[in-house]
Amino acid sequence: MEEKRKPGIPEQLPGISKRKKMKRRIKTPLAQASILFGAAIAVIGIVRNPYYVGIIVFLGINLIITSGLSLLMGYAGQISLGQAAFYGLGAYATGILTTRFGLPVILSLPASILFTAGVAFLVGKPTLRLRGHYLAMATLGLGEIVHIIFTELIPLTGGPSGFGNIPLITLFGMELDSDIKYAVFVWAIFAFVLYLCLNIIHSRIGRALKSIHKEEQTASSLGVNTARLKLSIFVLSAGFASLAGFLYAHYITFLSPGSFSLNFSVLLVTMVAIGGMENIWGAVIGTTVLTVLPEYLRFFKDFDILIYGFILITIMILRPEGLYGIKIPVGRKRANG
Amino acid sequence: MAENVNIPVLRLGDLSKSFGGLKAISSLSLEVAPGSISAIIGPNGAGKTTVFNLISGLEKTDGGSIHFRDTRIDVMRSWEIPPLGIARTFQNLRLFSNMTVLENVMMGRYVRSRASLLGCALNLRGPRREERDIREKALQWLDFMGITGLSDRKIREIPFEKQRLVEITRALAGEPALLLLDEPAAGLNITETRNLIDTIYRIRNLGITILVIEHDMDLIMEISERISVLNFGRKIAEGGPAEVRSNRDVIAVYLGKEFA
Repeated sequence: MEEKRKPGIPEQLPGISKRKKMKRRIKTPLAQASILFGAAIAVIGIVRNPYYVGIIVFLGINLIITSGLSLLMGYAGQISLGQAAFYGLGAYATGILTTRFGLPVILSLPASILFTAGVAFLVGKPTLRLRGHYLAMATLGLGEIVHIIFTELIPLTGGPSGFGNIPLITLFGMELDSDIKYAVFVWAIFAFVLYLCLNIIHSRIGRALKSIHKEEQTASSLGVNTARLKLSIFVLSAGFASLAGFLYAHYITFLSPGSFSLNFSVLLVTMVAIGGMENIWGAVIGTTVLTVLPEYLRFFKDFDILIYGFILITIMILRPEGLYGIKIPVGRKRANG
Repeated sequence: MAENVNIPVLRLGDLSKSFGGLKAISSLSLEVAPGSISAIIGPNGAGKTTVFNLISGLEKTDGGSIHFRDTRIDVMRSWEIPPLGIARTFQNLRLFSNMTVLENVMMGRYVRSRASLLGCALNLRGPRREERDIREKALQWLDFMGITGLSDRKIREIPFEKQRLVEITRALAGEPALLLLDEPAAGLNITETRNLIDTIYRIRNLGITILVIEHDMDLIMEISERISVLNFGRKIAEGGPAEVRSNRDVIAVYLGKEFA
């Protein structure tokens, strides 16, 4: 789609070259998700060091959240500051269900996702009928409420000190007890999430989302129920965040409120914005950069946060539309690339 | 398209609309016969576009009723109206600049498709087949309008006249029974306007009823079978082109009282 054509010379469809056919085949959602998964496996296999593999696990978890957020921000044009809350709800729901109520993991997964999606529905239903950034405000409030519940509902959540002993996931009789196994598991799930997102983007729903972003009134004059569609995408993005929370809980096996604060919500929004909102690959790039960058900055000791901030500002000044699509002479930088 | 010839496609009954203290439309009644090309004309600020916004549900009426065939539509929400078979264009082109020409036209087919979010996400067979159909139909309509060559272009890359045509194509892609054209000739030169007239005839020949708002009097007088003239939100005249042209009130409004 990106090839420049000479104006006035429409290209004939039948005569597509082999290379172009190949290109088109690589562009299908299934192919893209598989390639990314393959690349992740390769990187995990090369790295092996548990510490770095741990970072790759977190990258996968973050990517699951930000791909949903990218659909919401970049395509539907809505900002949510509650993704960390949904992430936390997913994590706490599965943590509480499996430890306090002895529910098997296979059941706590759908339960925690449905629960979180239900909360998102209740928050989104009234706010998404309105035009403008009411969702950002409502989710900001939700984030605080959820955080307070995590801290104060001590019998269930253990309060500020949290609770542990969350069981590991067993898959086909194999316990996911090492970082490497878990990394592969998380990235398989992320690849699936990405596949779903890419399918949505390339469908009538994706077009409708883009149309809402540009011209909400025009979209509705073409028959798009804009309020309902925005709500669906918001609930979907909350579901993805919840899934990420589930993966977090069964990886760390210990939960405390600190990991699910407003700061994390803002960081997630920043990841999508830095990468570029016009395209879901922007979210992938932004998330990768902002997850991996702090690790490199440890070298600067106490000054890391200063340099981190400096880099963010520089990117936003030089490239306000995000990192996606930047031409790097050496080759394009992709996740794990 | 089987339709009862006696029932008007569109019926406005005693319609009124105010913005603050300004009466944009007052007790306007109007009927559009099936298969016709009808027009609403009037000077700037006469309330023409407001009529379209009321029909397409983008503005809510203050009083009166709007019927599409037998269905009362002024009580509906804007997104419920297009599926009934009403499509419109906008005076100041509202194409989606973040999409290609083809995607814009495919967007016009949203009303004729139904794949759910889940179905699309999982890329199920039904949605996949539907998507192919959407693309095919969109290409057919682009072909009908003679702009297939522009399919893969971004909106910003094509000239204004073509953008107009793309917007009409987008409206047609939903295969409406009634097409509302809001000043389709604005900004077009003489040849382009001639082509537009041909296109409008070809659309009508498909059995689509057309209601057009226009400033370009030559265009209106040539294509319309029935013309309603608005001034300050009121209908001051109605009839065939010859009738309207000789109407004293109309001449007064357009040329000044001394000519009437």
